Amino acid sequence: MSFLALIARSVRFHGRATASVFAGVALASAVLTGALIMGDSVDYSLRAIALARLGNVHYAMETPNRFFDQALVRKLDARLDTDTAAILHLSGMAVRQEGGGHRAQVNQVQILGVDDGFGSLAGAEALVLGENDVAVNEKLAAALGVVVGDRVSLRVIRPSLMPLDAPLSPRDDDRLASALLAITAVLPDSGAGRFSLVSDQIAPYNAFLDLGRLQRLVDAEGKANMVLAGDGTSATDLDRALRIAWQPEDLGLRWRTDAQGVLQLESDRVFLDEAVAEAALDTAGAVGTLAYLVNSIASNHGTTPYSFAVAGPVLHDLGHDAAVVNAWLAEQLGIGLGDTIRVAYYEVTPANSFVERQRFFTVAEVRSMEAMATERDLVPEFPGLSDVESCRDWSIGMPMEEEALRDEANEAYWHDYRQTPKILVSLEAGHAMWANRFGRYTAVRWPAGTPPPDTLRTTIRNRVDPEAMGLQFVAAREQALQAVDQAIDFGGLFVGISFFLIAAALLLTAVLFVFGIQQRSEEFGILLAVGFRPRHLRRLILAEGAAIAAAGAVAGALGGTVYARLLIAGLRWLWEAAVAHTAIAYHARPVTLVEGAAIGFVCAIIAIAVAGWRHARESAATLLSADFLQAPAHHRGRAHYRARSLAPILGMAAGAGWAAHVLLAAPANAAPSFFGIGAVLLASGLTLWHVMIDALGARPPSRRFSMTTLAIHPIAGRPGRSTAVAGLLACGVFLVLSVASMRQDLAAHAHERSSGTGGFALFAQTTAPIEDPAIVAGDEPNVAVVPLRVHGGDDASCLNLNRGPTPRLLGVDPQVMGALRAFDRRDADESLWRLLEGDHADGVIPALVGDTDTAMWGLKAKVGADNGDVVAYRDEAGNDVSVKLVGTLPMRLSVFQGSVLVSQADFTRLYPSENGFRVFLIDAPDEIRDRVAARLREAFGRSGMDVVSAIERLREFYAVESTYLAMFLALGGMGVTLGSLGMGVVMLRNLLERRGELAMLGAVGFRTRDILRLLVVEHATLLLAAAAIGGGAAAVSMIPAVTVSATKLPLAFEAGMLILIIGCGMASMAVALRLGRPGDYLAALRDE
Amino acid sequence: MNAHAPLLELRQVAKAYETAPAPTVVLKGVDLRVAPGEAVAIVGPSGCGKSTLLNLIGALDRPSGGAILFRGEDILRYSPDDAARFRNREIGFVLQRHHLLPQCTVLENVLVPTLVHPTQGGVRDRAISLLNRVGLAERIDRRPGQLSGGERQRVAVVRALINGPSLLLADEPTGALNEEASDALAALLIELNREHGMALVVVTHSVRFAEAMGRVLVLHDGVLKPKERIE
Repeated sequence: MSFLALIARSVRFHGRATASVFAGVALASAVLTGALIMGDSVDYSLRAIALARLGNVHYAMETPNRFFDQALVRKLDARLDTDTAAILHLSGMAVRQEGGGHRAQVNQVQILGVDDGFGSLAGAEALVLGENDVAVNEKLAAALGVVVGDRVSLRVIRPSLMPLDAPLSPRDDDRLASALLAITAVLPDSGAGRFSLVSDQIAPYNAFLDLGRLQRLVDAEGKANMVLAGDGTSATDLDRALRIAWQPEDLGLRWRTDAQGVLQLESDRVFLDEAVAEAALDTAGAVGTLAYLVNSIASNHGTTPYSFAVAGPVLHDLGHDAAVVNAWLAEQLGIGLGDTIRVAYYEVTPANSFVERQRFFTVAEVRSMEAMATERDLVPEFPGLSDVESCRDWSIGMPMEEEALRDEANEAYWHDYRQTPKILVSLEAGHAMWANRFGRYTAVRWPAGTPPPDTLRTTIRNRVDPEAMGLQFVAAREQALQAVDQAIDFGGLFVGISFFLIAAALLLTAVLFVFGIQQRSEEFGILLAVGFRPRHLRRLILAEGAAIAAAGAVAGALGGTVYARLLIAGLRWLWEAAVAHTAIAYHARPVTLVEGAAIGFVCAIIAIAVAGWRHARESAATLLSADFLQAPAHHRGRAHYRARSLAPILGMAAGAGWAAHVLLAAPANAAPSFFGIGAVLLASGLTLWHVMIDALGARPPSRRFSMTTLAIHPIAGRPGRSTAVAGLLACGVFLVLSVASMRQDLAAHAHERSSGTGGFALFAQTTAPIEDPAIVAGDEPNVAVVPLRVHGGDDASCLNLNRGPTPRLLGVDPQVMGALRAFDRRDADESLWRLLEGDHADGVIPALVGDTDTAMWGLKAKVGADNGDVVAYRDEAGNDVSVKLVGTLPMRLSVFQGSVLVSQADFTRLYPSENGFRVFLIDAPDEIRDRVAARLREAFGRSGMDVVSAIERLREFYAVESTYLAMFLALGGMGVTLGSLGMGVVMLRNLLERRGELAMLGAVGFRTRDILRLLVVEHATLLLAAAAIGGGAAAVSMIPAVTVSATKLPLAFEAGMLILIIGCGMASMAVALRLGRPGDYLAALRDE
Repeated sequence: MNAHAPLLELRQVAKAYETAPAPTVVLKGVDLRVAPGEAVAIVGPSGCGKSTLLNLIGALDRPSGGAILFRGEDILRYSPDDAARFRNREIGFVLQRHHLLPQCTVLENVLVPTLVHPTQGGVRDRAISLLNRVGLAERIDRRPGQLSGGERQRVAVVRALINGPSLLLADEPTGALNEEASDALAALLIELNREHGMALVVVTHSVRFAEAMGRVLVLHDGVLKPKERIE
């Protein structure tokens, strides 16, 4: 008989032991493989979604707030060997209005004007859109409840060529363009219907119109703000082609020549881009000018309201406090050379409010009205100002006083001289007064006789990189796939969630394996007696274990496919919030099955080897001894155990110290430190437990010998076994209590400023920006509004499974937030928001992360950034900007989850064209909260305002977390059940091993209930010790996180979970007692 | 309790186990009377029912028929709790294997029977005295794993004596011992029988041990007979 044959026969002969170990390994391997398959499945699903939303699009250029000429795309197309498409991408609302008055409105709709190239690039070749047609995606159709043939009203936010927050921008009350269109197609969300450039697995609401139709609808004829390109090129080639193809006119630059032949460069955006202005001013004879509308010009003798002023076109030697006034003004104010005038003007703040300033000038020249003709001709055209007949009709972004607008003298001036500036000042003085985040020049002019526009156009084109104005292609497809590749590692996540179950299965496997070989001690002793060497025995034991583990691992890997399908079914039916309601398709790579089996095998073999090692070390005589199983551990003196207990006691002290340090000195690390502290305390607690029970076995005889000591002493008999069972249960208790502690009662502190709601009652978002936040508060008493600016970016919240390199930026007013102490720690001396204030000489923008969950999971997992790290953004001018995460709002969950907050000052500097405000935090007393919400929805429905209670918004995010907690609890609970099963198995084994002892107790007069009491006390002690170790570790490790985030512990729930675990253990004990029949002494005696 | 009755009396005690296809009859009608302080050996081939008979006497099992009287009282009428109390107070058991608790010291093992039913004080001194008597005074703080087989069995004997039983039942007490240890244990049991005046019923295969007892009975074919009659 060969060695292998011996192994085969042993494995077969000890069928029950083999089967139990096989089952344990198979279970561990199945859970492990299933978790890894979940990673495959999520990755596969996200990849499919990413490819579906892009179709054949490989490259894209998007300039949300800058519109370029559609002709630019045609010029690019001519230079490239790939398909291109011009898109006008706007936002809006879709409304279905039924005859009965039932109305459905969907906000945050992507309105996409698409040309002929879009169909083939997005994978919708058959898409043909007529003048009154619209195609919607399945998600929008479902939300509206419409089908092909129905009519839908689209409300589209009109694009403004100039930034609406700019001081001289027209104030158009009707920012929305509406059209009633017939739905001609419902595009599938698995294809072109999902089109989006944002890395998010959640389908957007999409409505597709013919490009020309949309352009006409919003008065943006010929304009686009997105270019798509197919394969066969590169982003570099596209950018190169763009640099060659672009002309200043494509980006809204205009040339104008006045009657005297002065040439002027202007922009549709009022203010010239800095790069363009610099390039233009670098040419010979160029003079930059800055035109502005001042509030008033006054002298000691009079005043005139609302007057055009121009900085720049004056002699170089004009002092910065000197001014040229026109004759009309001199007469009106009764001033002459040397007189002083006061110019009042508005300065626009980052918060979009206007603050009146004033500056005094000395009159250096009084110029005739005829001499001002050139200036009259060259003041740029301002829609809302230049194109109205009466001052009373002026409508621009700046606040204007009605009475001043009715000034008769000024009205007469407007009638006679229109935009003729009343005052000219130096460029330096103009910059000091009127330069703003939108630019420092409204025009650059060249004297007559300078190079013709064509030459200047070429010069400017050569000197300005389109990238500096935000025109840059990105490898959209590559980025999308990278976002998937770098998304949260769901395989790892599910292994983590299933970890306790895997560990429990492996521990149970080890225990079962040990029991199997303990039963065969005599067999091994005989093998040693007949000449086997210890290493032969070790090999035999290991080979048997390996054979069983290999079979179990392979079976488990196959079983893992079932486990993964069950998890996917769970994600579909029970835990859909965990993947943000994303449909996850089952997908298993063969290599994953091999990996799962291999890892399962290795883990099992380690567990088996560690567990079986001791037996292979015993001598033949010991193994053959009938008392082998009853042999006590080798005990030593008290000093030995004292020394051994030192390390775990120090470990526990270190864990407690760590928790105290985190709580007092590093609260930001509260959440990440939790597992570390818990692990140290658990390991130390279990080690101390092991030493204690070992010492119990070695204790000196006591004069007090009682039923209790008789019950507890057997725990010391098998310290390893007792510690294994206690450890399994302690880990389960720790896990379940910790997870339960993470459950939050969102309403508990919702009224407090330091909570995740900031103490605000409502959270509102609009599709269309609102320039004046005061109108949101309205006249309602006790209602206050804090507005925030929004720069769209990646969603780094738990709702996005993809990697998001640039999270959404929110612009806040740190002083307002600081004054409220909103979202701030109550006990902090200084407002957290102050971190956002001040000058940043190094150009690095300080930012706060929306909440600790975003910092820990959203940013770290997705963006790759941690607190203190720098996230790279690109500003509106195309410059790379470093945004440094200087802090985190100190709560686990806030209404800002997934976002990064910067000061409004920094925000408006980075993105001056991001008009108005789109997020509003609203204070309102409870009793009128719902009424205020209803009023806002009604009043700002046209702006696409969604209003939810702040708690409700938290709940949306919390749904993901609570679902993961539920999964963790469910799988952890299965682990605890397995742990309880292990305890039952161990107890049963103990009963079988100790049948003789128990029979003896019966023989000397112990009643059955006495014996049961002994056994219950023994195992309940084990159970309670496990609960104390696990519960203690959980309590201490949770203190920092719970204190920092002001979480109200669900103590009743935790107590319930603890009782459930102990109940499971007791039930398992009861089953073991029933099966072990400890009162059946005769059976034991007969077995002798 | 009848003061003139024998300590133990078995009347036509029968025991059968339900087995297929027919019940297995182990004891057919055992009659036995044991006087206080008497030493009785029961011998017989393996599987003849000797241990079953001891279990019945010790109220660990119930017969299929017949009566067992202890001091004239029918122990078959005892409830399980009464039976446990009876074993604790009146019976001492010594089994082939010692079944000492490995986690307890020698002294503690001896004291185990005193834990379940209230006893008069001084049990600790009595235990030490008994251990001294059997030559284990130096071993009282040791654990069973640190003792030899003979020493363990002597601890088991002391444990059986701790509550001062009237009847000591020993089921092949020397079965797991070598010859020297076996002889020593047999001598000890007999000496203790004489010293303490308790009755001793021993099931044994050892001829020498049996012959050292006052009376030898043979269990054969389910019936108990004096050794002379078999021969």
